[in-house]
Amino acid sequence: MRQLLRRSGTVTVVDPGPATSTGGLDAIVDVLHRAAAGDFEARTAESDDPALDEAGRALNSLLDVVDAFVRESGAALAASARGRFHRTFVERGLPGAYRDGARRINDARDLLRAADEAATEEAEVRSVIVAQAVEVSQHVAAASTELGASAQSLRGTVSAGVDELGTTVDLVHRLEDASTRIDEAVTLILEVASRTRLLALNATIEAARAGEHGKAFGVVADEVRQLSDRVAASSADISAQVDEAQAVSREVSTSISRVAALIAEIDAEATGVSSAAGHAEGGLARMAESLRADIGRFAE
Amino acid sequence: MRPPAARPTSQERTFAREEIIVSKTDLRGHLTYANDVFVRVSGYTRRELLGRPHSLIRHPDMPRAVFRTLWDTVQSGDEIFAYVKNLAADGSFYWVLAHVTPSTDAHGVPVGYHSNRRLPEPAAIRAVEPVYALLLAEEQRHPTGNAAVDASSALLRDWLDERRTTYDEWVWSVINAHEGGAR
Ligand SMILES: Cc1cc2nc3c(=O)[nH]c(=O)nc-3n(C[C@H](O)[C@H](O)[C@H](O)COP(=O)(O)O)c2cc1C
Repeated sequence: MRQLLRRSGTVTVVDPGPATSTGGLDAIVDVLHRAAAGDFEARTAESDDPALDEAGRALNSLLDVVDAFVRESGAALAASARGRFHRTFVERGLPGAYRDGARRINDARDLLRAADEAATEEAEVRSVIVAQAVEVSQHVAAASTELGASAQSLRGTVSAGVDELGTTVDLVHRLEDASTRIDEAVTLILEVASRTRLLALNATIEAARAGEHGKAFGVVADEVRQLSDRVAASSADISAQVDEAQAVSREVSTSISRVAALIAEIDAEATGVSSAAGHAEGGLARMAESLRADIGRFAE
Repeated sequence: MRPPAARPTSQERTFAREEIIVSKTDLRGHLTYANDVFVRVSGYTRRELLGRPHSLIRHPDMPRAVFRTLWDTVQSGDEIFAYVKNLAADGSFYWVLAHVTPSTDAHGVPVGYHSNRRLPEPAAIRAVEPVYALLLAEEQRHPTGNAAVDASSALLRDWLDERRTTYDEWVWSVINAHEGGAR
């Protein structure tokens, strides 16, 4: 005759006997045995013997309180365990230690409810943080995808710039070639001028020796000499200017090389940014996406 | 041996705060045990009570919807708390806060029901009475008992739904608000 506490305070009675036994000491003893075995269904009946009747009533009162306490304590704890915190243990009607027990169960229920509220609050905070983290990682993924794309297009621009520089270098080289050829032409002109001058000088001498007949020829020869002097002078001028043009070309060449080196550096940086930001292994966009996926799994 | 049906009066009976009224019934709701407090407060002798249906002390002010809720709940194996106005043998009435649970055998088969009742606070009764009056008025609009209890049960459901609550939560809101001395 064992009793098991079932859900919601239901009490299980194994082998239930009659609810009230006929009065008498045997009956009282029987009810006591059943109660000791955990069967609170049994009660004693009234007795004609005043002493037995009094004992039976006292026993019934005891069983009534124990029965009520067992049913309600079980139900109250089961309710708290299931989160039905509004179900408290009404302490009224229960005497002494039963009331203390009821109060302790109510205290435990208060603690359980506080813990439940804290857990609920924590879960709310956590879900807010998760939502924020998902949002941030989405933004980071989007921004880094964009950054990767910008870096990639910067590389395109840089390579167009490098091509343009190549063309410029060619132009400068052609300019240098042209100056060299001008220089050569000027050298030739100078040589022609110096020979012409020598010829004119000889002609002047010959003209002087011819006396009166050579006078007009002498004038022409002198004119030729002066002309060749002027040719020589202006050729030297051209040569100086060509030298200067060549010096400038060399400077332009050097400066173009420096610009090319800078552009190569920019290209290296853009390559770095593109792979750091993009979807490649270890790229920021890739990492942000996998972070978002991880957070999503964690939040489920 | 059957006592005549009592005619309700406006006389109120009461019992001590530290007492509980206890009864046990068979599966049909016929009394198999009543404690001394039950006997004293109801005004019936134990002989008059045992074997009789519990509705012996049913007060006409109680709406049937409450008892239907009570039976539905305990028959599905759960506990229920209910404020009940009872009718004593002399026609006087007494309010109780009843806790009703099933008793089952080792296989979970119900063998009977148990109830212990506490003295409720007047404020709690004042909170419950208008709801019961509403349900009772609905029942009185219907000629047959079945139609009456169907209608008042539907009304009770609607009334609870409107307040986004259940019977269990509602009765506990009354208990926790007014039986404060109980805690
Ligand atoms: C354990 C137990 C205790 C009950 N206690 C009461 C009670 O105190 N007062 C009451 O009117 N009905 C009580 N009832 C409900 C009655 O069985 C019955 O349903 C109710 O009085 C309505 O009567 P009716 O069904 O004949 O209309 C109790 C039922 C059970 C199972």
